[in-house]
Amino acid sequence: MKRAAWATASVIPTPVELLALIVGLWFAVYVAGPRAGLAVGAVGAAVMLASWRRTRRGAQAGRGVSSARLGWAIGAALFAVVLPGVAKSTFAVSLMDRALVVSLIVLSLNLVTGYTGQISIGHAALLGIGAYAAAIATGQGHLSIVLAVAIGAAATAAVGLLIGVPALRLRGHYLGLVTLAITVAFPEVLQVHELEKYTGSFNGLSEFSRAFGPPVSWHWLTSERWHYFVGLLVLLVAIWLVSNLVRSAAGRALTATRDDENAATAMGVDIALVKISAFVVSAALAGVAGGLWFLLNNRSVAPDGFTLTQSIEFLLAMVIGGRASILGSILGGFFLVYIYQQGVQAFSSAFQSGSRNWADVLVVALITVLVLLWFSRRSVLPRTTRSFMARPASPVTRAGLVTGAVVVAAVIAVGVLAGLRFITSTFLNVVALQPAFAGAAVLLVVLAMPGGLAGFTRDLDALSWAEVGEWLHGRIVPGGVGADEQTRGVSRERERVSSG
Amino acid sequence: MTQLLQQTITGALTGSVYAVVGLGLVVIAQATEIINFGQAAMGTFVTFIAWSLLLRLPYPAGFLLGTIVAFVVGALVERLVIRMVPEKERTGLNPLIVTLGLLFVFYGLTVGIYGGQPHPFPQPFAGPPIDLHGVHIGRASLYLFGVSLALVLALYLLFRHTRLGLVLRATAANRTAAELAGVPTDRMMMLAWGLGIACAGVAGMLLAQLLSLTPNMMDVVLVFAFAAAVVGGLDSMVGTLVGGVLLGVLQSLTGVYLGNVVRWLHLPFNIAQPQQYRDLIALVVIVVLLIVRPQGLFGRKRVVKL
Amino acid sequence: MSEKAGGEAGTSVCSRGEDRATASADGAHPMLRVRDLWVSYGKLRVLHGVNLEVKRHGVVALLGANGAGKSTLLRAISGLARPDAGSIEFEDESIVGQRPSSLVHRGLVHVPERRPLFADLTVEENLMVGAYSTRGRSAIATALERAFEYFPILKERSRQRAATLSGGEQQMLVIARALMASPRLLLLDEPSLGLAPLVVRDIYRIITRINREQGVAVLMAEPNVGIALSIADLGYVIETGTVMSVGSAAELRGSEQVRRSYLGQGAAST
Repeated sequence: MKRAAWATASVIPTPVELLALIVGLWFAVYVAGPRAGLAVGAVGAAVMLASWRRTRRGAQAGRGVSSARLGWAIGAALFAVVLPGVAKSTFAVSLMDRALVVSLIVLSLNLVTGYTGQISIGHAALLGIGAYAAAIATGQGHLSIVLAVAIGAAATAAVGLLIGVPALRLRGHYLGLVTLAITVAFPEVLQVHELEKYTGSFNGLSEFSRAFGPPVSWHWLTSERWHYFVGLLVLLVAIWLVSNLVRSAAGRALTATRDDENAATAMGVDIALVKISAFVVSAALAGVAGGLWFLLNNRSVAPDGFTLTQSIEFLLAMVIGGRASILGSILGGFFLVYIYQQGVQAFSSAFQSGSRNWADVLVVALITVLVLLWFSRRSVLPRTTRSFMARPASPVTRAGLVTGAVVVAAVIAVGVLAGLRFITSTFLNVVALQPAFAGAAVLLVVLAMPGGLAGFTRDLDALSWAEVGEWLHGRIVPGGVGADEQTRGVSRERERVSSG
Repeated sequence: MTQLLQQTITGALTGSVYAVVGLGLVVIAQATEIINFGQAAMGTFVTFIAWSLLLRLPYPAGFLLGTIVAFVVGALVERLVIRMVPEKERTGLNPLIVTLGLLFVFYGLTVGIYGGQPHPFPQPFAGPPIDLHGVHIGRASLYLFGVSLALVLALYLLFRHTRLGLVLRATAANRTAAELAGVPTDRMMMLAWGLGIACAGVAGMLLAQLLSLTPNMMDVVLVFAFAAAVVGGLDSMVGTLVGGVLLGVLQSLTGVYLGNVVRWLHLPFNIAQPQQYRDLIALVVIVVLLIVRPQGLFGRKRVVKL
Repeated sequence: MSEKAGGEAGTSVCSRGEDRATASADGAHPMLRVRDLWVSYGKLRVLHGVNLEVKRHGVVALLGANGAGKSTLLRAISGLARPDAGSIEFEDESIVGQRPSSLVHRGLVHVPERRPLFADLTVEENLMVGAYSTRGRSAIATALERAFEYFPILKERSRQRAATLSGGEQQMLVIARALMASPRLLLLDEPSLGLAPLVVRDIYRIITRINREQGVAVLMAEPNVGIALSIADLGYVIETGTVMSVGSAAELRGSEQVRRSYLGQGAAST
């Protein structure tokens, strides 16, 4: 019902569309400055919005999809190709490049975690192995960069096999455990005395001499833009590979393994093999991303770039962007670079000049309001309070309630800070709280929006069964949880569709 | 010979604290089927709170209060966060990602509230190491060992010989069945998280007096704790204790003798600084155990091979 | 056997016949009353406005093919499934939205299908878990004695791990565990599932005894019509989430409706 309303909607954008438009425009202006950014962003966003609507309508009527696809391609090209061309600074271009590489690593993480359901906390280490392999191959091996990246990918895949075999032939989340150990160990291995001549210990390696410049000398094609376009090409190839993989029989084996290992086994899927191959492919992709990472950072690598924190940031990007979604991986990568890293930097520098105490009060008050909102929607508060909050109220009462909530939040904020001051003799350090905000974001997304911005949710209702149609792979569930009822529901639904 | 004994004993004493963190993991993993990656960060946060309490209180009171705070933090986290994971998403990935979120939240809170500088942590039995025929045993290590052992024993008794422990085990085995038998399983989950984080808090307070108190003091310890828990097959308490102690000994010996072993085996390289390899041992232990004996040295055959 | 339960049982045995006859007089206060209950999984409705009553000390059978919604109805009553609409009253108090464990404390115990037990615990430990809502050492000992009296085989096996029991013994253990909570209403979901006919007969004989001697009301889902109607006072025939007919055992035994709902013609016609 809702979708039909979307399709026939007028030119006025819905709130979601409006938000997407604003984000797209903001991004374009951020990269290319007001004039070029607005022009490119407006055209690109408009074309993409039109194609999006057309795809929606096409899905209903079964036509107009190919022209919509062309529109998608044009819009994406405006953002991905023209935008870096008119970027206002080299920094803006390398930031986009960074977002591309992060998208690639998130995509590779998505393959094993989002699609196959095996958590990996080791992707920073895998990225690091690829980067170090590339650095060593170009620096000490004097190989070309293309070959070096290939070596990096092979090395990472080998490591993936080495840790994937013990961890993934068992049921349960052993991959998380082993990859956690790898992530913690990796920076230490790099600094081991015996490896110093290869890894450069805690200084890492830097190889500024042999630049990986563009093949033709043209002043527009700076080395940043060249790196960016190489990265774009690699990402496109990876997207093509992954999207083909997940749509193939092998890809269905991945999702079947994630959703129900028993059913997958019953359908003849060798789930150990599936999981291990997914992890090895994912590791190889991470290795390629590592090679690009090495290029991106002025051909240098250091141990502190590949720690547990980075691993968890990648998971954060994947969860927020959307699990088991290619678009989600890219959204997640850009989110991590532009909102999480850049945004927080801007936030902290804004606070550094001002009065710290007021900033603290603000932050604590904000958190309090969010927490109150959260609790009011969940069954944490006592029933009476909830029903009071749920009661429809006149605007005046509502304004009163809001004011009251703000006052309560402020009082709590001051109280919390006073308490903190008492026990620690310090105030909060807003900048240092960054990981806490990231963690809170993860919690909120997982709890409130499990699919992320563009991801899958495990929806056990009849309609999604009917929609997946040929994807249906069978489930083994205990009786009495509604399996029979659901199957009957699906067939009833089908009858209604065919008769109506 | 004295050196060998010295290293073994030092390692065993230190290893007992891995067992305590590992036990916390096992208690939570048993009751809720969640591997809590936030264990170390939560333990460290509580240790910082205990530190600020100890600035004003005598040691026993501060230690006890710290343990209680840890219990409350664990129970609250279960009530306010873990239970909010939608019922149909309880198994699988979401709880794990939630615990990673917790790791970030508590690490951020620790750094945001207390800053990143190291602090010395008060020691109840300060003094010169005890000399036993040339083997020196630090008082802090001995105290750590004693408390760890007492905690392990207390948990064992709780789970094996009380009605509450029985009900906790039943909840861990089959939550729906326990609920239908009249057990308020949500309260049992809170209890399990409380106990698990209390273990982490105690381990943090013990470690902090041995090392010094920093926000990422326990990151590596978490990996060792996992290794210890894997030795016990993630479900055996005694196995986890033995695993922790063995791991500590292994680490300690590696730090001193790895070079000699390499030379003795005539391997084509030299190890000049064997203590750098101490932390890698945990990784090797986890991987080798998962290959050779996935159910742990002591665990019953529960882990399903594919 | 406890005095209190025995006393109640005495009256219940003589009043059972009258109960059915004077349903309207006594019907004002049934022990369990379900009214217009709607339950769904996701977007799919499973129960469409079910009405049902169980009298004090009564035995009621839910009949119907697999997937008709019998288990869902029991799950909704015991709090495992959340209804979309409708009311469930137990002893004149609404119990919608209550946790299963708190209902156990009030005397409503659900024995789910597939006999979930604590496989690694011993038989006695399993029973002790069932006694969680019972306070006091002597009360627990009495309850244990009572459970062993009904299921003597469990006493022999009390130190064995529950996983080592046979299917019939496991079913007995699950019922005995429910008995530990001193229930006033037992919800039984397919106690006969996968058991040999002789074992099934034994189990139903014990269930009847529990009903008569302890005065425990029983609401059971049982696809085996013959057995179910042999011990029930009243049967509800459920088909694709609605009650198709209600009647006494005698009325239902030869009913065309019952036969049709098992052959599934009804399902196709909806």
